[in-house]
Amino acid sequence: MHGTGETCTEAVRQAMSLGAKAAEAFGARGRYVNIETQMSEVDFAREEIKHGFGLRVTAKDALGFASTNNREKITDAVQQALEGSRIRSGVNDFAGFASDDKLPEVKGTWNPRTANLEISECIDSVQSVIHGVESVKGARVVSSMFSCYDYEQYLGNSVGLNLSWKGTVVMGMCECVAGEEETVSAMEFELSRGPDIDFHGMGESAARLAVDSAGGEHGPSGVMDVLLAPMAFEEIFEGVLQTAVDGDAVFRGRSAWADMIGETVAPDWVTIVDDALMPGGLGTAPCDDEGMPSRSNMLVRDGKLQGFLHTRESAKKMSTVSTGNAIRDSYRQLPKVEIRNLRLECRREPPLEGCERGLMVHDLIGAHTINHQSGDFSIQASNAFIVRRGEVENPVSGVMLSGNVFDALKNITAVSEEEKCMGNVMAPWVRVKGINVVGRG
Amino acid sequence: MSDGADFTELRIISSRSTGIKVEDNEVRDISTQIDVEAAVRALVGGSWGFSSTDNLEEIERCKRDAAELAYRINRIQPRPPLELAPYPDHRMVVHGPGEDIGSASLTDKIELLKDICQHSMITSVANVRVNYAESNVEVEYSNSDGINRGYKLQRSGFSVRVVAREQGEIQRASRSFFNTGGLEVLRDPGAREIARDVATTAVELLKAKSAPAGTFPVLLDNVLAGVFIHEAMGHACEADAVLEGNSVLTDRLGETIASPGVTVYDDPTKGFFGHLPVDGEGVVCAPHMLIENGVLRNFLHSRETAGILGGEPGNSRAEGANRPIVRMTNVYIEQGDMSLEELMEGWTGIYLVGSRGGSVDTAQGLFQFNAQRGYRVDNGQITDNLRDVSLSGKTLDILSGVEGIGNDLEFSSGRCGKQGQGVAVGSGSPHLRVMNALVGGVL
Repeated sequence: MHGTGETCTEAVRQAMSLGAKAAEAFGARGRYVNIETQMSEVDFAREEIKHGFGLRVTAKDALGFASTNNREKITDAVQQALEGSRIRSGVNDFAGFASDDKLPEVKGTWNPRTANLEISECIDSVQSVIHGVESVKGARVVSSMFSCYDYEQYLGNSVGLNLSWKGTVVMGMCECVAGEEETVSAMEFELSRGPDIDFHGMGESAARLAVDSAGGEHGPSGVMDVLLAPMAFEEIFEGVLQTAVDGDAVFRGRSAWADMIGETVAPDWVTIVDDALMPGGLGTAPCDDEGMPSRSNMLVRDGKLQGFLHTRESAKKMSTVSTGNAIRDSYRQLPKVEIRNLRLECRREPPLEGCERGLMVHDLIGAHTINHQSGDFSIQASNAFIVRRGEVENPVSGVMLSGNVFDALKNITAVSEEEKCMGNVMAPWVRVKGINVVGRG
Repeated sequence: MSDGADFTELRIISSRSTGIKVEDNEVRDISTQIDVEAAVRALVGGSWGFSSTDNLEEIERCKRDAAELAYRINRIQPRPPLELAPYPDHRMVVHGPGEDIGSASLTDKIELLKDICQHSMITSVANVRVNYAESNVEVEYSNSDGINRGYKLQRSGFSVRVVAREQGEIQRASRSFFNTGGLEVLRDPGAREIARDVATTAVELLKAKSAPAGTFPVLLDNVLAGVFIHEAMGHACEADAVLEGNSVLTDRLGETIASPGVTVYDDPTKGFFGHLPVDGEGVVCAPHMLIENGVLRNFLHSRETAGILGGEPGNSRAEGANRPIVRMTNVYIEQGDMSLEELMEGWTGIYLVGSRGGSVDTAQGLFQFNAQRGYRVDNGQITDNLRDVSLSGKTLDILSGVEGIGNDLEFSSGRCGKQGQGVAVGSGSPHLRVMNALVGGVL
């Protein structure tokens, strides 16, 4: 499919000529490069070029959707989308398409160096990761990966909007193991718009974590402070907060925060924003995936819930306006409410200081089992260490954490200066009080 | 088709999928995906190059690119040449297609889905989502050794997700019901029973007690035991993990790793959700015994891992035009001879039912799952409804702690994620009673 923008225009034109009242095509084109290792040896390189579009149409008052990557099937896709719209007639969820072409300027989303990376540079990066791991005695690489993605997205609709924007993403990942009698593993990854990742440092850090985690004894049980590393922070909070602030979930009674505007949901020194304009953020773009201008949205101010995130459709249902949070997993999917770049704005202090007795947790096993509606969780800690009087002590294994994410948010007692980009969340280290720790010790 | 590579293979995947989402008896969306993709993999020495496209006119370019990539990494960091295992001689089994999903109109399907949704709309239920998906996929495989194989497969099914609310409490339950086959999956009267069960579970969880924490004897239902055998045991049997030293089962072939009576298979020829006629390397799929009466017998292999470790290939799978990697299909524990009543008789412990997902660290042999719900059982009698009950521990401790195997093998469907790729899998098990396991809950 050559010229994804032109294909989008053609799909909209065909839809209108076949009887659509309104039509919108979202197209994507991308080049993806991926290098993988099996243990410490590069064994796999891949290059992929993809294009396609997703078409939303309305014949009367409801949307229908179809997508294709096959240029010969444009008319087929248009007809399928129209049929879906006609069958859904009466649902009346069509909220109109975006028409504002004045978009904010965003910075740092497309890096020319990423877009022009040579395969040999990609291989160098992954080899740096391996050298990083090998610099730590007692650790070895299980697998590592480097990938980069250069993409351009298009949005055209029958209201006359024609937008395009582009971006790049680089990812490095490393998994290593250590330990003699019992193996322990540790994983690190880095995400960025540019290739400026410290790959050697990432490998070294994963290796150190694996070595330090080896020989863990059964952990203690009790209610205590838990220090969550950025990865664990993201795993615990992202899904639950996403559901809580999702305007569609609010409308449908799936959000625990549905009736809580103005109520306390976090400590009074914590403010939470979703900033789609954050320079270089992975969720940053001039507009969302239905063409609405991006903006920064205040979700929680001084601990009190301020508002929710919306697509045009969820905003219409809630009699409000879109917040620019309509995001698609790919052109094959319909847009849905998603956070863009979630960030805490608050006082910063080292979470380790002042922790008398607690557990430091780097990673979690089973985070996807967290109940996104109620916030209840019962999950296993991985790469966990005892903390006493502000010092990290011995590793522990087989420890479960249980509690409630909404309670945990209220019980955050410290947030680090350091933050790590975990996709759409800028994750700090945090100390949370009152978590149930269940060990066998 | 070698383009100078030692070995080249091509897969062309054409698919057409339709999804219908019904929420609170309203059609939320209808979507159709029409896709075609091609993937080329080339081997030079011990290095793989891979290139994919959605433009079939670019297949020749993909072949050149894949070979070039393989050459370049082999030059920068040469690996010993790979000996790919030969193609085993099996008869291809293709189930279905069942009742043609194209034979019913969207309107008919929506009526069936609304009926299923209606079965979940009971008192205290705040939200019901029924997501239906159907797909027709056609795969053509060919390689430079002259192997040409292809198949067509139809899959369909739905998931039900229910949220119940009462007096500030919010609980959820869900279940999927996908299979290899056509419309009969949707027409199955059992579909409605599932919808009602899911709703009842969500509502009962509103008043359920928090699970206790600590070590208890446990009884796992078919679904959770199926997830356990897939997650904890199946992933550790994947030979890529074994080769990387990332499996607790490395070097354990022939050893007793489970209680006598525990026998585990991966069987792509069974017509459940994980059914597969030909794998991503053109190997005709066949069943493989993983554990025989407690003894570890086999790992799951690609042609590469089987060539290195010995064993039979046939478990290399890819999502669409992705790289094939070692995966499960339908993994199950063979049934024993105890009825549920016999397993419960005089028994005290925690009975865990349904799955909310789980994950595993194959290197350490650790697993963690959350059940949809639980029950406290005292001397054979259910005393309390429990919620947020999770199970964790060491895979091998659980396998060797199995002390009762039910006679009620059932399969459930799921999507298994590995290295960013999701594939359809079936997991099967009878009820399993285990001596002791760590249950996570409230202290």
